[in-house]
Amino acid sequence: MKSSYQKIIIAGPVGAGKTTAVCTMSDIPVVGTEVKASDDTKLLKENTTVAMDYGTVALDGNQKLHLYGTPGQNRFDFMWDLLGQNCIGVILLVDASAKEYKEQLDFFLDKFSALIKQSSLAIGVNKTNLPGAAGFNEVREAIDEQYRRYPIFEVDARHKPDLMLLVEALLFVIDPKIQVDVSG
Amino acid sequence: MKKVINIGLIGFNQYRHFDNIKFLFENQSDRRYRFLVVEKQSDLTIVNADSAEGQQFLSNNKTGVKVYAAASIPTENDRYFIQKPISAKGLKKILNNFLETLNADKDPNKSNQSLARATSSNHSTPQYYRPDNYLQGRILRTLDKVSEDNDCIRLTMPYSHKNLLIVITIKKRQVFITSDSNKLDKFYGFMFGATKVDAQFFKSCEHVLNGEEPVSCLSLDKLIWDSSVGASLGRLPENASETTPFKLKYWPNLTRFKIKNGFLQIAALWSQNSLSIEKVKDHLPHYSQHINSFYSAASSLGMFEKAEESVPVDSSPKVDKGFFKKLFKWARA
Repeated sequence: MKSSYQKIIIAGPVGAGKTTAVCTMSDIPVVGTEVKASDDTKLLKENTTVAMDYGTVALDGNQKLHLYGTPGQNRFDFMWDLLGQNCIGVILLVDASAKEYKEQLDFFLDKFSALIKQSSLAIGVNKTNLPGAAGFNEVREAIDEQYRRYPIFEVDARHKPDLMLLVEALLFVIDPKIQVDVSG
Repeated sequence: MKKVINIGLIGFNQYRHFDNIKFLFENQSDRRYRFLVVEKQSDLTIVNADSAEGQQFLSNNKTGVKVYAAASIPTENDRYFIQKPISAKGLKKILNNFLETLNADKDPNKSNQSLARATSSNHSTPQYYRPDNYLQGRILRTLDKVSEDNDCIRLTMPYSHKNLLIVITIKKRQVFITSDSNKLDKFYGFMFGATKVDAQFFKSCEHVLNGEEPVSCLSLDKLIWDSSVGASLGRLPENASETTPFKLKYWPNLTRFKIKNGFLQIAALWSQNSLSIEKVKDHLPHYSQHINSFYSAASSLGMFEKAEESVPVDSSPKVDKGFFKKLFKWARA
């Protein structure tokens, strides 16, 4: 993981809030590839991401963190493997208001399992406040047992502190004992 | 080695009040003595004579070199009195009196013995508290009493027989409050002692609020977690074992729960490894007190499971620590 080009992947099903999350975290205007939805996605939302969302974060010493939001439709899964190189970890966003959230969780955790093993994972449960949405505990219980020891937090993809805490947790999974002194 | 003097505080039930006096006392520690605020077996007790709990204590115990009364209005001819608001200067005077009396014994060995008897803990000994004395324990005890028919609990405000504190719905694990949820915070560190918190059980929550509109709602898990962290004040719940290894079944929902420095690291370490409290403190020595608070809250929610002790794998070689520190700086900015 000692490359100068490092990234975090934000994955999840359609409507989970990936584009919003990248926009919330990125320092630059997000390079998006949203188009008017034409397939079943249009039942869920008007626009959808067809390639990926890209954002960056400027760090000290002219270094950058690259943020990639993957497209949610299964037919783009070939792209997910391409994004895996130099990945610090995967932030998987879940739409708690989706009826099929369990299946979506299984699908994405399975697809990203190899990448998670070599990097890290943090799960953000979004939209728990919507009417009819599953509760946070229900979503957590639906997660396959092997992934339950990763951080799983309730988030609002529009709320930066929620996402930042998810990122911190993602990093601590990799090294819980790292000495963090951010004062200097 | 420093001698430890245990200080008991009675009737200082407001979180900030308690915390301030605790800070003032513990700040008086010097090369010879370490002053610790404890709940049980104190050597010196300060009683808030203006509180119901303090008055009850003073009706059964006389003031003396080991028991000082604190009040806003001075008590006539009471040598063992401290004026409120309590100042560092006032506390220093009490401590000097106390130490002088202890050391006044002509036989130095005897004096040392009495002090040694009075000082049962040392720097490495953890401090414990009784969750039952706090809202944390009252809620957990009330939840234990719930029968299958009940889906609603109404807890009344301490020192009040009718004013609503909270309403808990069992199945949905939600808590309703008639005021801002931040106002509940002040009760977390409040030592109830013998004060009752009345609980009524209902089949459903219909009509339970008695016309009082709930203003805010939070999850029951959040209430249990936050009240545990607030009650712990860096101490372990009594009967906690520092040597038994545990592993977290899952992470606490830290975007919504009360979070202290180090909680993310503690959760990361404890979710990946089965470790005793002692071992977690060895790995994260800066967060000793916060580890106690984390343990108290996580165990209240039943988040631990017992497992064979495991040794954390040193992952440092694969991490670019310089880059990670920059990431942390960004994440915390």
